[in-house]
Amino acid sequence: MFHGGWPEVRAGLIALAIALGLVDGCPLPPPEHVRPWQAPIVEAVRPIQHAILAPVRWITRSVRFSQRWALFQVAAREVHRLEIEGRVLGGPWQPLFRAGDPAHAAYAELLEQERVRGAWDPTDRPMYQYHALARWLTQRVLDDRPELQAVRLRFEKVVIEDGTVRGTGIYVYPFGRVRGTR
Amino acid sequence: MRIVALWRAWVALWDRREAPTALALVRIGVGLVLLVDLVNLGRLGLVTPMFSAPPEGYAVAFDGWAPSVLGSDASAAFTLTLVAVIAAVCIVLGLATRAACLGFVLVSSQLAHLAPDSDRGIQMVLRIVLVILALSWCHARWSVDAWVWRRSGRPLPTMVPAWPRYLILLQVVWIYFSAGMNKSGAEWGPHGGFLALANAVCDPHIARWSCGWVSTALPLTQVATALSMAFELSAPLYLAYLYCADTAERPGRVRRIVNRLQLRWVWFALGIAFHVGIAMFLRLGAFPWGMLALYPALLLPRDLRRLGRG
Repeated sequence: MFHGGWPEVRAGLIALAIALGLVDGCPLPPPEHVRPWQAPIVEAVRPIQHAILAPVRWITRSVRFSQRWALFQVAAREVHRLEIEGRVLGGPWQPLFRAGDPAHAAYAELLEQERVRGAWDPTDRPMYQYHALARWLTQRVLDDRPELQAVRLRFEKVVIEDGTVRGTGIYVYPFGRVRGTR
Repeated sequence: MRIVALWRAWVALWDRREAPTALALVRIGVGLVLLVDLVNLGRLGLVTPMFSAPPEGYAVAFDGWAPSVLGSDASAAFTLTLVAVIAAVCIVLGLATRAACLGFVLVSSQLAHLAPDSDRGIQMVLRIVLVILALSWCHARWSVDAWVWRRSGRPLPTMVPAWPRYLILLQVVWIYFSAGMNKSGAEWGPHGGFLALANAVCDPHIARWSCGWVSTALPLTQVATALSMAFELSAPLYLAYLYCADTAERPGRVRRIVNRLQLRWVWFALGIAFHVGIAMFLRLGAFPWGMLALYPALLLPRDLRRLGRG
């Protein structure tokens, strides 16, 4: 069966790569999202998956490969809308940027760039780099606009209904900076 | 005996050869998408903020080779991005192609560690594809490499191993199928009224246009949502459609029906419509273009020959 020729070796390596990819891509829910009926299956399969992938984990980790694709897992009615506001000394908060609002579009080109959005667009929690991005962005706004005394970012919870986006007045993940502070 | 026959068929499958047209098209398309993505970051002045440590930027501290050698300041971010741009240009031109593909993967993975939230799914897809391209003869056509070898009297082969294209094809099919399986929101199915796309085109973070039109065209968006799910979950069937098309001369009722209904072209056209629709209605950056760049790998060699004849 096996003659040791290159085609056989290559076919074997390809089979191994495909098998590892399928094991990696096995759609197990993250630990915090496991439903009760899934628990016995996930508890049995996850250790096997880890054991099989352990010898190649250094490759996937160092070059950031995965075969788990979760494109648009959720497209819910309840989403967030980023706002950036600035305030002059003693004045009220004034909107500078509001996502999807052409009337308040300062920094829109920068913030709406897909790869930048990845660092601030929250899921059910803020993104890993959100605070670092917010720190950098608020400093940039203060540098660009010397009249401002303070800048803040926050997300309004909004609801999508019949082609309209309705604000709820509930704000989450606020980040503020006053001029002269770190 | 059956296992031996299966193994032989498996070896024979991965030992097939074909013209390098599809792989060359994928190389050029992927290189262009990567190049535009990086140039766009530079145009918006995002290289320093995205890939530099605070206070110059918002990159993450990590102990990879790039920060060890270059540091993590603005000049390091610029150097890494410049190397990636040069590699992307070389990939498009087919200049030192294999080294350029591997070089891009190495640099891009460092950039991904520095800015993990900015490393979107499409960047990972294209890194995987570049590793496959590095092992292929994608530079055997429409490349500086091919020109140089031809000039030196040792032209690159006109028939090259097909397995890299098969792997890219499998990768694309798996991406869609995996994405379909991982869609956990009820809005993608009947329980959520197939409202996913209606919601997505109104999401203020990604919507390209105002979505007032959705209320009058809701049924259309519901059909589009259902078609998207059907497209993704039926992706593995595309392999069967291709097989039926490739063996059209053999007997079999199912094969005849699949070929008569042109199911592979239906699925292929749905894929193009899916990505063009995303590009039209949502701001998802390089994603639709990066995926479309892989589509030449989904065709049979004879399709490309026909296209070439025009």
